[in-house]
Amino acid sequence: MRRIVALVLAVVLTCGGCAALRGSTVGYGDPADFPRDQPVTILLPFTAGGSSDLLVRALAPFLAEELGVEVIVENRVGAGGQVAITQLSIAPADGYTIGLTNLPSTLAYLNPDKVASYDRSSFTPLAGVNRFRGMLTVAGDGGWRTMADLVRSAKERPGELTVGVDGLTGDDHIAALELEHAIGADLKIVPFDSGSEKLIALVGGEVDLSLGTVPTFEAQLSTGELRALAALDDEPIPGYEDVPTAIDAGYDLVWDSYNVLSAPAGLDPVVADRLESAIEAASAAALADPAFVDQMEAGGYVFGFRPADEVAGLWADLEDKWDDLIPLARAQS
Amino acid sequence: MDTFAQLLDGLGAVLQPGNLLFALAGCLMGMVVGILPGFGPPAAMALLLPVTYVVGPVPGIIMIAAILYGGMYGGTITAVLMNVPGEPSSVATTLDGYPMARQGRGGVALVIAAAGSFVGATIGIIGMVLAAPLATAALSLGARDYFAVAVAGLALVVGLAGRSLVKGLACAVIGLVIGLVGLDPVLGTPRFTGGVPELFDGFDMIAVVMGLFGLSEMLVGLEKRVTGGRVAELGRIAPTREDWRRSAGPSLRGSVIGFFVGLLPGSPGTAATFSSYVLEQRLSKRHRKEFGSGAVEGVAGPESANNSLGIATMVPMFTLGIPSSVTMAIMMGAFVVHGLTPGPLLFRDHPDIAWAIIASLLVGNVILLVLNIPLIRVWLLILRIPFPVLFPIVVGLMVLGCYVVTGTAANILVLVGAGVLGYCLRKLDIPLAPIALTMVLGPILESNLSRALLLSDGDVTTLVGSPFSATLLALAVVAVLAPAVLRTVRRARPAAPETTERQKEPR
Repeated sequence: MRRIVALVLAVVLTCGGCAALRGSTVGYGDPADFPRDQPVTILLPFTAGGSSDLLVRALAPFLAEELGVEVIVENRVGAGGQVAITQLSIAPADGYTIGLTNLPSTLAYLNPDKVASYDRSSFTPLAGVNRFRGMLTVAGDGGWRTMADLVRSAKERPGELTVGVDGLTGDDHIAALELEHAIGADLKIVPFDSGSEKLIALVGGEVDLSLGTVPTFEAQLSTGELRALAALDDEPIPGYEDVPTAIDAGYDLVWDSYNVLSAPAGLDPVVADRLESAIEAASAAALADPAFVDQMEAGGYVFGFRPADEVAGLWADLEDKWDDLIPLARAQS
Repeated sequence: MDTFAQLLDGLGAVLQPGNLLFALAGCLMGMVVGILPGFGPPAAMALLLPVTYVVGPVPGIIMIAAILYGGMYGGTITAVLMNVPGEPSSVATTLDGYPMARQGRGGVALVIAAAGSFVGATIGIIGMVLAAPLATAALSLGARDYFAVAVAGLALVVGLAGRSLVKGLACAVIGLVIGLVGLDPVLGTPRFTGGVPELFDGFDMIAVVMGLFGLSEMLVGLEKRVTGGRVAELGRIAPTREDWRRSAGPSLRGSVIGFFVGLLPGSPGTAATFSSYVLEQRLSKRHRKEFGSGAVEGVAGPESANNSLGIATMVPMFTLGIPSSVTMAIMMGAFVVHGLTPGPLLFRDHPDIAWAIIASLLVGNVILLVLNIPLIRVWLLILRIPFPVLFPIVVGLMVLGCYVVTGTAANILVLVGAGVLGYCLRKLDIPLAPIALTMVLGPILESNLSRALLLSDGDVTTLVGSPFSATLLALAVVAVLAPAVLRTVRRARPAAPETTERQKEPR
């Protein structure tokens, strides 16, 4: 008897747990009333403590203030973001579930190997909140002092210089392909399982060069263990003014990444507008808070609101570029 | 010495009542979350991270570090009392800790584990202060070296296999197969995932070990129609002089192993705890037969290794600004939130903060030890909870724990599947421990092998091309072949006394 009770209790608890995972079912109210005493959930494709997590969690209280309802940040980790983004794409389009669709990493759906169940039309972009600038770096004790030095070596020894990437056919790999195109020389792509493994290999001299956002390299650049050869932006990066841009060095290469908030497709335009303006107001309020600004500076963020139409345009442009590069990346791996 | 002067300054800062209070609060919160079956240290840190945002940088970071080792000890409690490891590296503790608890020696196991953790952490901190430059040296290790680490780790299977080597190897293969699921390291395409994105990163290791060890244990209890608590008498808590004597050596050796493995970014903690376990098993002359059924050495060694490793993984973060594990990535987040960047700059710009945090590790571990000894009596009551009450609570918490950290409901299915697999393997009398080792090492071995060959343009000799990899691979070969060779020798000279043979035996 007791055994049966135990089994029943276990089943009930398990099912209860599973049911809770489905989240509360949401009723459609009048869009003009949005939001009404219901929390807004932000689905986050990354682990606690990561750069996107810290940003969204820092911004969430300001957004809650603007919307007048609670804002919940939920980490759903897996498959380089695909797990969370899949869930976002099938969530009810009522404004109560939004999520982070970072660009360009979200574009992994363009790779048929990833069997993604969504594409650009599955989402309503709401706003961009942050941009990370890109950099090209080499080990500090290596022989290359300028990007031209590096390109000369790459051309002398085609296919021999190694570039570390944190995953095949991901945004890092695509960036490496763009570098190959820009300098007109082949490189050897060496994949790593994570960004920190890639960094260790770069500092330890196992790979020759690497591309990435400024905060990834900051600590090592400050000690001279790494050397930045080029800023992959339109203008020199604040704090690294002595590092020329790739464009100034004569190579057409710009690379950056964006934190973007999106809702599922089919969101009522009234609700979308409400969310967009709330994010804009929350961003302004956050920038007025010294503690928030300190955190953004320490983390190497370029925090700032970008309107929905700008983000949508960016998304479409990046998609065009990736459509050409994905087949090349797949052929290389 | 300059470093020690700075450490003393740091100690002075930590010993302020405010900071002490946060260290205490962190230890307590970490332990309380960590003791829930299913919530290991990463879960405890991820859940409690926001709590540390509200206090200033030094207390906040002291607190998150305290949550880490509080959570680690909480995980030890669940491993010993419920056979639920909070992460793969705690599996080694369950091998003898849980049998000890079943024999009414759970209190002894927990005291030895607490003392062993303390020794491990202390040696880790001393190593951190003295041997920080080694972290820079460890950076020069490459793919072939990590390949060798993984191969040497796999050689430990021979020591874990128990009575039947064939069964041990079968189990090792199951672990390797589990490790195959995920993205192919050469092609970057999903493999054996059935198109389920949740499996692209492979099975969640925490869900698998909890299912294999914890859930299957619960299923066995269900089958046996256990109605009472799991032990009739709680037994004595204080270890005997003999227990202490037997634990001292394993604890010291375990601490050293843990420290050096922890220094290598990207090498798994599981390798350290299992190395310590197998080493003690081999070194023990009189008690070797007790391993697997309640040898105190099997608790002391891995626990010390695990804690020393926990401290050592912080070294790459402090000295180089590189997080070498999930927990360290969370810790780095705690720094960034407070406007600090861990790494060499921290020591240059804010040496007071850096050293206060390091000193807090020392103080925090004392707090943890002092806090724990009286609480052990309370934790032991878990063993008296009637099974029909304990079962649903533990299973419910495991389900919740699997879900909470990653937010992936598919992990619950992984937990249940692993539980059923563990139950079947128990029925077949196949040892489970090798699975925990090989499923962690398999992917590391594969991706580093392919990377090493990519870097060398397919030249296989690269694998023995560095002194580090050549030495480790040679050790692995010796470890695998030695028992067979010794057996042949022993058969050839039947008159040879037993003990001298064992002394010759390399690990």
